[in-house]
Amino acid sequence: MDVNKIGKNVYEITPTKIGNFQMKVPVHIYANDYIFDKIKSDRTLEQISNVATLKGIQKHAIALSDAHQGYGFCIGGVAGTDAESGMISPGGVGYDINCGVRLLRTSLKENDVRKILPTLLDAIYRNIPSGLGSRGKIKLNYSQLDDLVDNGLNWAFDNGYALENDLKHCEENGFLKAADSSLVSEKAKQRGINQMGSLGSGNHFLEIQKVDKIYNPEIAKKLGFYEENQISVMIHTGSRAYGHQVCTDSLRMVEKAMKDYEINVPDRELACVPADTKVAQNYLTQMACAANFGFNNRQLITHWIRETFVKSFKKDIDELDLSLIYGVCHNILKIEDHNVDGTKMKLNIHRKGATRAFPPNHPEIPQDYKDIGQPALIPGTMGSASYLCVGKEKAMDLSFGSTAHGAGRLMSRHKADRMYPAREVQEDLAKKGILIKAASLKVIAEEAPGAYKDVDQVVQVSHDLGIIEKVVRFVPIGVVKG
Amino acid sequence: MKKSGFEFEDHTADVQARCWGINLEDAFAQTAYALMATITPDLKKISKNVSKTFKVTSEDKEALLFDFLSEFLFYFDVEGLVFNEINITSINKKNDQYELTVILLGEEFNKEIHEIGTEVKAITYSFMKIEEKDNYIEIRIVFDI
Repeated sequence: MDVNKIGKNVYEITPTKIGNFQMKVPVHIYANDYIFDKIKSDRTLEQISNVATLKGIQKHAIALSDAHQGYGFCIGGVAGTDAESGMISPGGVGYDINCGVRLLRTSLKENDVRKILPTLLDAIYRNIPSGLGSRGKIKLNYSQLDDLVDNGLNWAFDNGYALENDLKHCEENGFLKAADSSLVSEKAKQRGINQMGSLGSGNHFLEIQKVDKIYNPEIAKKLGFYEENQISVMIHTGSRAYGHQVCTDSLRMVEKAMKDYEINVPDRELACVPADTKVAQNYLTQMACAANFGFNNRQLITHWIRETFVKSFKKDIDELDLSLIYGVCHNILKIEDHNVDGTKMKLNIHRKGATRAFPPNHPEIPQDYKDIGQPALIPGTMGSASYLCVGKEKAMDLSFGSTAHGAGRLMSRHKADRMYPAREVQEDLAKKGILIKAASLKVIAEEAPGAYKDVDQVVQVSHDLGIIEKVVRFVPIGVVKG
Repeated sequence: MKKSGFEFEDHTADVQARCWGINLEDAFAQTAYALMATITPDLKKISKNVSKTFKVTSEDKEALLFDFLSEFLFYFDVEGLVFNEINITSINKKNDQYELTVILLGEEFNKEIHEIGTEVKAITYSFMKIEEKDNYIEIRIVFDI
């Protein structure tokens, strides 16, 4: 494999043959030397090179600064294929369809929260189901579940779980219109029905954070962040088993169809079919259902966070604020307009562990953010920072309007479990003023901050490339892990 | 080395297991134990109160493994079941299809009794390998968590 550094923070793999498969476009890796060294250490480069062999792929396959080995596509990967003849790959979105992040702003200061942090965290832990096999608090019947996935966040709004502003400040307004629940399997519905409004486990989290640093006071002010120590809340979860099963079903469906189209791929997990086929359209319809499940899942959790804060602080919502700054999806496929070698093209943009970061004046971003660009959220670990950024013009050239989605893992969970005793992790966090509430000690060890890349460097790479601009840096003070 | 077993290997983000057994049935069963042990590490704590049996038919061995293990995620999410006895009675090739029949013993997962592991989102084909060695079968598999 021929990898060359072609500029500051840019590495390139030139198209070559991988076994019987020809890479059709180069791979671009956005990394500084520290990050590139980490990326090289697992099979990330092999995986993103495989992606570059997909039929109809345009311009370049991207590994962002948080990239690491995944299954099929690497995580932190972006690929755009021709909207009609190019490939659609369920594995390019992943099993946790519409996993994503939300940021809520509060009017509280650190001092207000510190006083009651343990009881507040307990209350959040009680009110929001989390952990292995967590089941939501709301009971839906199957026709309500279909209604929910067919209508996205409009469902939450109609049922009193969302404010008008929540829909405006959510990617796609929280509704992928292609959804049609009649195409989703009974299995997916059965696996998902009890999980609406639950956090799950692994790297999903709820965090109470404080503003640590403001980089651009003007934009921060527009987003309602005025000073250090202002409190915010971050939510990270996805479409639970509903989405997992949709991807599993779709992968099998696509795999069987590939034989008819005589498509071969270097890795079975990259199973794909051309966009203009019934099978691809079927996947997109089901994916939209799962995405709408994910939007509503984060919305219900938002609703219960608000309820918990209102009760805990004995103040009303107007006083506490808790408005949604923005909600991003980081595992999703979108059909978008992009410029390829001077020509405007419609592309199937696969974002797997990648956050959309559209620049100012892009038609897809909320009216009130038109002049500043789309807020892009990049969470770190439970012991490090998270960032609120805004998309910049360069993102359209360099990464199909995308940036990193997190710190990106460095070490296997297995290894982290051996290296970081949970009690020590807890003590280290306590020294930094971070309280953690977790479903198990195992998750604390596996999610130890040392198991991830340095998020400050991950974000800095995107910032220096002009993909995004850093606006606010947050650090956690209270963490709930499933 | 024991005649059959499994061990976890390093994978940056997910769970990778190496599983082996004296024949295909045995090796497949070990992948299911590895899956169960990801969800609840101490399998000895599971009682055998519930019995399930199911059949899977797929186009090749890899797909059979993928479909077989996916069923366990369904049982866990829908009925809350975990198993510690996995008895694959047969894997047969019929026409162009592979067919597997399994009998399972286990019980409903209970946080108070069972060890808490990690939710498994899905089974993957990533780096999946089913290999016939001299006198045993070795399987590598990655679970998305």
